Amino acid sequence: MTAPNLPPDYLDAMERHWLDAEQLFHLDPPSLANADQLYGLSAECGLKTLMRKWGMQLDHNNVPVHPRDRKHADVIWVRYETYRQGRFTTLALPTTNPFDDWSIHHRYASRSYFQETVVKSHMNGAAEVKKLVAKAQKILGHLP
Amino acid sequence: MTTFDELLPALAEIIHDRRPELKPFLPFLINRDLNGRIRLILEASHQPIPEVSSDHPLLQLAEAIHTRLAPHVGQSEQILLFEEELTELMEASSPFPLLDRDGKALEDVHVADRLAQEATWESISDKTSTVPRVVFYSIKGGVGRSTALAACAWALAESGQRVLVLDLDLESPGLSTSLLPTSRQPAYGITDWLVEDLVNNGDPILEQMHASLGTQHRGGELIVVPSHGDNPGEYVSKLGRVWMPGFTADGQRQTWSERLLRMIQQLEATHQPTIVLIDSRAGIDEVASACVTDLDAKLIYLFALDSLQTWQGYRILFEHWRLHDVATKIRERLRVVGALLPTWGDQAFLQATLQLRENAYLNFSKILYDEELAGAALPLADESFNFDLRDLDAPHSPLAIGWNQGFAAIGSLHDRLAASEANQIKFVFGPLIDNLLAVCGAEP
Repeated sequence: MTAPNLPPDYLDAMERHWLDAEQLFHLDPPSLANADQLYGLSAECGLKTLMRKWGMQLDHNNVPVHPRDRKHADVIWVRYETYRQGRFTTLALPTTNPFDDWSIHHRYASRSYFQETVVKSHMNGAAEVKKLVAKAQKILGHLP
Repeated sequence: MTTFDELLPALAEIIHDRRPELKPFLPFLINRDLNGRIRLILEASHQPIPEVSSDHPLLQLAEAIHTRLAPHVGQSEQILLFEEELTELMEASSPFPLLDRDGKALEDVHVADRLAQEATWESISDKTSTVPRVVFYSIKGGVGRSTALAACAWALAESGQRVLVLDLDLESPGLSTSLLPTSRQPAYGITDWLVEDLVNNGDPILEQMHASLGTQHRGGELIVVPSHGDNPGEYVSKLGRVWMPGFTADGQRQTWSERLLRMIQQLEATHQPTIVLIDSRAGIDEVASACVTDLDAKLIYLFALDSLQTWQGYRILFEHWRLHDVATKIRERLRVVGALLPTWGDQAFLQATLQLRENAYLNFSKILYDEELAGAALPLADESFNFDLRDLDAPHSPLAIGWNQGFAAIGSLHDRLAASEANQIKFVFGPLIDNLLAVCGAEP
């Protein structure tokens, strides 16, 4: 049996990754490694929601048409601020990319690498994106 | 300290000086973001591996850019951005060439500018419209542009043309009230359509956003589409939304000027005009930009008083078109209109017209005509775009409108137009009317 092809729902995925990341981070003892991955995925999904509104093309399965848009948080943060244009200038991210030291490949790494301070900076980055999405919803109404 | 205007010349210098070692890594896309920060975008295959030594040409380039352009760049390791499908990204970014200090384009180096507005003055649309669209534009307000448009529209309709008039001076509306009696104002206007279109409700508006005036001439008709309807309603709140991008039924994003163009095409399909006259906002404004560059205009009238401020303003626009390599595309559509020329005293009108022509020529020949069009590939000699000062058909040669007491500060034109003061209108606006009749393919 093959896995069903479930189309992305970036807004919903941003929320669920965030909620799960928060649960893992606040466990005693915290599950830092997986929380870290999920904060990064939450930020990626939030930024893809906004980028879609700005014109990022998706195919009929909601997947970005261009490979250059199929990126994770570490790259998307920079691309968002670099190419952002048009109105809604308040929807700006901080210039410094908090996911500079985050990678999707860290999902294979040992738990011993994940320090609380680093994970916290990724948590803050994901929280920034969530705030931005909430602001966009206020200004623009429904986000696709 | 480096300021905004020095960014591109400095980059041109840095890249030019290192061209031999940078050649394998071209093309470059220089990205100037919303905050005026620079990044250099390169093809992903050129990304240096992390262990590469610091004398790698790209790392040295990033360091040089960082040193020279701070604070308009991040740290040197943040300056380079590597992208797959760079060519496609460039095409989507409407880039313009990077010019060196001599105005010569650097090969394979382009600039993408990210602005807070969507209409940018340099995305010049192709002339694909079958109906001639003529834009009335002025760099400064208060020069009698809307009055001239109203008078020309009426005269064209009287001579048998079907004239569609669009009041796109959205932030200072009023053309329709000067053309239509209060009782004939339609229920809706352009602003209503642009707002309703955002919720796919444009079609019902389309049928109720115009008023038609018949003329004595068979076939002639004046179809006026105002900025707002009979009751402006919450005009400020609507105006604040017209700029919104929209989405088509199949999910394609459309800028507001693309939506505007769609509206105009629908109006043209409904009313079948022989000419469309568009009253544009004055100044370097976003609506004006859409009117001048995005609406497939066949002809753009540049209304001008012969003043220092007027030519300074037009020079900014002309230089922008030259820098963005679109001067050759737009210059053939331009035509100067001399506005409010003095008509008192001996020879004053003629002298003022000649003086205006001279100043117009100075600016056109220096920036837009071929001789001085530095940086762009020159066309073959026999196709060169150049004109003699005295050439009556040249873009710089003013269609002269004299100041006239009767049309100054006029509240409404419709009474006067109805009073059939055809000779008076012809006397004041004759050159403009004849020019427009020629655009329609009719004999003046």
